[in-house]
Amino acid sequence: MREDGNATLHTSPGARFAAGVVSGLIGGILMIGLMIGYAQMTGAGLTTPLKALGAFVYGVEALVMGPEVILAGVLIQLGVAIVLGILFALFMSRATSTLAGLCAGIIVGIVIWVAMDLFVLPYENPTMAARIALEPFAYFIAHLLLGLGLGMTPAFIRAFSRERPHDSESRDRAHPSAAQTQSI
Amino acid sequence: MHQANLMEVELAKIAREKGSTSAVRAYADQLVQDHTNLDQSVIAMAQQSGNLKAMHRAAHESADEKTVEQKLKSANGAKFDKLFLRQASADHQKLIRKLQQDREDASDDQLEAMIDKMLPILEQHKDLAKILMDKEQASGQANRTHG
Repeated sequence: MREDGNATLHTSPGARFAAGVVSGLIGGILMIGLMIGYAQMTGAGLTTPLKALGAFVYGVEALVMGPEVILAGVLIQLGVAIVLGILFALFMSRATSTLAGLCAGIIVGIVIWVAMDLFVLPYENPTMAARIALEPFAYFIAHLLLGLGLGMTPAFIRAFSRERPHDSESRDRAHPSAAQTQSI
Repeated sequence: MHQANLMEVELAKIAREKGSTSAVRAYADQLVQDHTNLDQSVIAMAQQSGNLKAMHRAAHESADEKTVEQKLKSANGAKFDKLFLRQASADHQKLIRKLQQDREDASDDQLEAMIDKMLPILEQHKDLAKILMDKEQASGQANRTHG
């Protein structure tokens, strides 16, 4: 997936990091947005998905706790999504096509879904596992949305790596010979 | 199961109004949401198997259930919370045992799958009732010590 061997396609660590954060954030918001919308639609309760996430910290009691558990749920969802975005961005570059990025994102989304369903939730958060079992399809779609968010990483890397006029001027001042070579 | 869901929703609706702590009201809210949700699956399954009318005919409030409802309606404050949590805990224990038995006797894969999904939710309700009862007891003891 890494295709930035050539100097013109160099991806700065800053751009990669920022792209990972933004794409993870978008994926995380899309994912929890779908779960909340679906829970509201089916009568499971608007805050139940966030409370179920909060059960990672508070256990089953999270279901009857107040705003602190909802905040914990939001932080867990977005925190994990951002970390996934940053890790995903390590394997992406400016040269990765949008389609390849989206395909890779969706594959990663499916892998995360399998890992959560089979290995993480049953042992680390049985409260959430029981609730996910009632709406497995929505949970799967939510992971596809997370994958789509992650898949936007190459586009964000390109956007954040775009050379601004100010950057090229300062580079020319620092390396005048390079500027001369370019003008020839 | 349909009647049990209706009963739990009914009692929880009373607790949503009369619960004296936010935790008891939140628990009641969760019971209303979950049992309404679980009941939709039960109704859908009965509809699929053509037993919907029979299910509705069989669902009626027993004399015991009416007594419990009356007792809850006449209680207030901490006494209400205690009564409601004890009732919810006992109801869920009974329901879990009944479903476990049904699961063993069932020959229908769909029914088994539905019970497998319901049991962990009912276990959560039972555990929550116990946690809240323990908390009520602890705060009651603390009040007596300070008083």
